[in-house]
Amino acid sequence: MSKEEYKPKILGFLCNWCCYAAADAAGVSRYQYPPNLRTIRVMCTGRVDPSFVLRGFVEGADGIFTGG
Amino acid sequence: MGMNALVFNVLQEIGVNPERFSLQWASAAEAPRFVKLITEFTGKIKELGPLGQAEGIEPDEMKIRLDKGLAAVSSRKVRMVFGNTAKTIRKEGIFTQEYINGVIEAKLTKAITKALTAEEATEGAKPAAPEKEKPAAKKAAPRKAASKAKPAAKKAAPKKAAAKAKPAAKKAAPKKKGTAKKK
Repeated sequence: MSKEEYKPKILGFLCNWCCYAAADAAGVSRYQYPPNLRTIRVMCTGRVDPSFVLRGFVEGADGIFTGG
Repeated sequence: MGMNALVFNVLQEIGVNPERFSLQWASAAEAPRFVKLITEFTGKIKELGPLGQAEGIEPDEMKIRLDKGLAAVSSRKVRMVFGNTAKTIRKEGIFTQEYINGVIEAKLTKAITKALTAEEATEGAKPAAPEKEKPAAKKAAPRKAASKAKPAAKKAAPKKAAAKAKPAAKKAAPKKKGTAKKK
């Protein structure tokens, strides 16, 4: 499999008030960004627990992005 | 910020590249910055390849290690030390990433390695639990599980862990409550 075909699974924990809104704004203003991100909206980045991240890797994520 | 330091430590301990986890900041008004961050992060993960490939770990081995890491992070001991460390960081009032990384590493490395190795010891107990449905394994497995779980727990924290070990023993051998208590 070549590198171009490989589509990484990226899990994103996005804060409702910051990164999630930023992602929304990026969509509204039609910025292009990679479609590999699977988003989980949390009400605050402080809600993200280390076990969430490890669980994400267990469930098969290749990378985990946390955005506050 | 302490959270990502802990995750980095655990990932390093179990042999996963810590770059696979990233904690970044972008406000609601910073859509271009968010796009930049996501593009960079995706590029980095694409370079690293699927989980385990860059690390040179087989998928089965990876699964075992990640389960261990998850159990370590969820363990009461690690969470307690982490909470206390966060409290001291708040008290001291220094919030640079380097300082927090240093404190977390100094205080938690011991607890993490302990939790990871303790998981190895109790690993025998976990698969034993579903075996109770099998009539053949009924007699042998629960006893082993109970005896294995207890010494491991005693090492970690004598009084509190004993309470922890009991429900585990109960799960493993619901019918043999009496024998577990006598021991």
